[in-house]
Amino acid sequence: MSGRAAPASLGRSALIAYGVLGFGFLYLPIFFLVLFSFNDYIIPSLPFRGFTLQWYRELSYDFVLHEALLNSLFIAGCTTVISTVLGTAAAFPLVRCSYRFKRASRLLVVLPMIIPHFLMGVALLLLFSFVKLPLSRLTIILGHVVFTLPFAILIVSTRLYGFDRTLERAASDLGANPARTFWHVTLPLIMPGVVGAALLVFTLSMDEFLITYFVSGQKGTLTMYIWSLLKDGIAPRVNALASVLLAASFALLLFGAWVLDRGAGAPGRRSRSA
Amino acid sequence: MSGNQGPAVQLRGVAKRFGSTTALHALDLTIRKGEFFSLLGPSGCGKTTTLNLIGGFELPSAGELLIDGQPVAHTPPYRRPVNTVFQNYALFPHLSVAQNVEFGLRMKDVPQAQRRQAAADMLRLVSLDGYGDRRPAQLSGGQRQRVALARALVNRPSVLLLDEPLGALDLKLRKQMQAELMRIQRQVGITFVYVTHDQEEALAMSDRIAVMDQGRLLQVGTPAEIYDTPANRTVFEFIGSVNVLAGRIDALGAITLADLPAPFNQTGLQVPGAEALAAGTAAVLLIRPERVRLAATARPEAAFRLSGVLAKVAHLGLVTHCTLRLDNGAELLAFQLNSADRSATDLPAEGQRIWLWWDPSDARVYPAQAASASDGAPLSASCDP
Repeated sequence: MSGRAAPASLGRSALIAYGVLGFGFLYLPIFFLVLFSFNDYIIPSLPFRGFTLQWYRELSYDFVLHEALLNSLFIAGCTTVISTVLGTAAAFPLVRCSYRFKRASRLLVVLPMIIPHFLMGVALLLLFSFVKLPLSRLTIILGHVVFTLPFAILIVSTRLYGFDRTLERAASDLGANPARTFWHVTLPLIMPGVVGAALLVFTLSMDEFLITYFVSGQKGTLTMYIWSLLKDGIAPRVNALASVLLAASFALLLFGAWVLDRGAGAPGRRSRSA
Repeated sequence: MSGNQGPAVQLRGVAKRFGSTTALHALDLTIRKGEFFSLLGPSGCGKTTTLNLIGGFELPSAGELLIDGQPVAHTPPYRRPVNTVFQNYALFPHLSVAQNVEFGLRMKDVPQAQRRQAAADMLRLVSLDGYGDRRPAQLSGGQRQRVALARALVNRPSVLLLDEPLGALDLKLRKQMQAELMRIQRQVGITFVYVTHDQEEALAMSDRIAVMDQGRLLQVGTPAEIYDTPANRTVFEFIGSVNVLAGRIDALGAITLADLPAPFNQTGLQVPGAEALAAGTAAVLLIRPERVRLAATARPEAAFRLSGVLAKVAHLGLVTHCTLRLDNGAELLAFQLNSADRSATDLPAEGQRIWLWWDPSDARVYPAQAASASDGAPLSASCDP
C-alpha cells in the first residue's frame, strides 16, 4: 500500500497536515482556556507555572456567580419549555397544511435567525418600554423565546417531513381519537426532534448575551456576570468557569446525540427484507 | 358466523369527487356478512377510494353508507367497527409486536392482562407465537404482514379491510399468504373486503368479486360467474387472457368475423350475446386462449373449424402457450394444459399445420365501441406473461 507512488503519499501528508491545522485552529483556543484554568498564576499566560485547583475553588465561594448561574438556568429552562412547545405546535401547520402565503410564512418564521441580536435587543427594549413592561427575568425569557423559536420550529419540521402519515391513519383505524393518536403515535415518533430542539434552545439561551444585555433588569445572567469580570482584565476564575461550562456543554451534546441516534430513522429504518 | 344475516356493508348511491374529477360514480354495493369480498380493478378504478370510504378515511360526496345496518357515512374512522390492513402494513415502529397488536384494545381501555392474552392468542392465530417482544424492524415482510393482520383482527371488527396487502411480497410468499388469509378468514368468520388489481388473487380467494373500472362497478359475482359470464368486454378483457376478433352482426343475429379467413368472414356464427345486438352493429368476439382447442387432424364433429400454422410454442410448465397463424395472416393464442392425458408433446412441431376450433358457447360477443382498451388493432391477443 505505501510507497508505491511517492507524489501521492506526499499529497496525502499535506492533506493530513492541513486537516490537523484546521482542527488546531478550531480547538487550540479552547485548549489554552482549559489549560490556563489549572495554571497557578494570576495572569493567564505562558509559561505554565504549576497545577492548581485554586480558581475552581474560588468559583465555589462566589455567591454572585451562583445567583447568576441559577438565574441563567431558570431563564434557559423556561425558554426551553416555551420555545419547544410553541415550536412543535407551529411545525405542524407549516409542514402539513396547505394555505395561501405558506412559503412566505415559512420564510418569516426563520427570518429571526439572521436578524442581528444587537438589533433585536434594541427592538425588544423599545417594545417593552412602549408597553410599559418592566425589565425583569420575564423580559429576558420573552427575548430568548423570540430568537430560539425558529430553531425549534426548524428542527421539529425536519422530523415531521419524514413522518409516514399512514401511521396516524392506522392509529385512527384502531380506535384512537386525534388526541390519543398524537400522544401514542405522533409524539413518540417525533420525540428525537423535540428533544434535539429542546437541547439546542437550552444551549442558545444559556449562551446568549446581546439581547439579554438590553432587556435584563436587576438580575443578570451568567454571560453578563462573565462580561462584568472581564472588565477588570481576564481573571483565571473566568477560565475555570468557562471550562466547567464547556464540560457541561459536551455532556449535553453527547446526551443529545445519544437520544437522536436512538430514535434515528425509527419511522423509516427497515433493516431486513426491505 | 353470527345468526344475524343482514349485510355487513351497504353502499347506496355512494359517490366521491375530488374537485372536478369523479373518483367514484354513484355506487350501489352490498357486502354480505362473513364473506370474502374482493374489489378488483386496474389502478385508478376507484377500488381504493371505496375502501377508504368504508374505513372512514374519505367522506362520500353523496350517498348512504351502512355498516351492520348503521349509517356511518360521516362517522370518523376511530368510531367505526372496521379495521384495516394497510398496504405498507403501517406498523408502529416505536412499539413492540405485542404492543402493536394490543394497540386497538388499549384505545378501548381493555385491562392490561386481558389485552395481553388477546394479543398472544392472535399472534398464535397468525403463527407468530413468541415474536411479541420484537420490533417491527426486526421482522421479514411476510411476518410484518401477519402482525398487521393480527393487530386488526384482535379488535373483532365487523369488517376487515385489506388494501393490496400482498403486493410487496414475492410470488411464493404471496401464494402462501393467500392460503393463510383464507384459513384465517374461515376461522374468525369476519367479513373481509379485499382490494387487489391481481385478478388471479381475487379469483383464488374470494367468495364474491366486484370488478371496477373508471369509478364504476362493472360486475359483481362469484369467481366462476365473473370468469365464465363476464358482463361486458372490459370485464372479459380484465380477467385472464383473451383473443379479440372484430366482426359485424348479420341479419340473422349471428356474427361474421372479418378477421377470420373464408368462409367465416362471409357466414355468420351463432355466439352468446350476438342475438341481443342489432343487425349491422360492429361487434367483437372474445374467446379465451384456454378455450381454443387444437388437434393435429380435422374434427368433423366440431361446429366449425379453422386451420393454421403453429407459429410459436412456449412451454410454461403447467400450460403451453401456442401462437397460431391463420391463413389470412391473423394470429390467435391458444393455451394447452399439460395434464396427464394430454401434453405438449402431442402437439405438432412449430411450423406444422394444425386444426383449431372452439365451442361457440365458450365465446362471447360484445359491441365493439364499448371497449376501454385495445381498440386500435382489429385482431389482438393479449396475454399475461
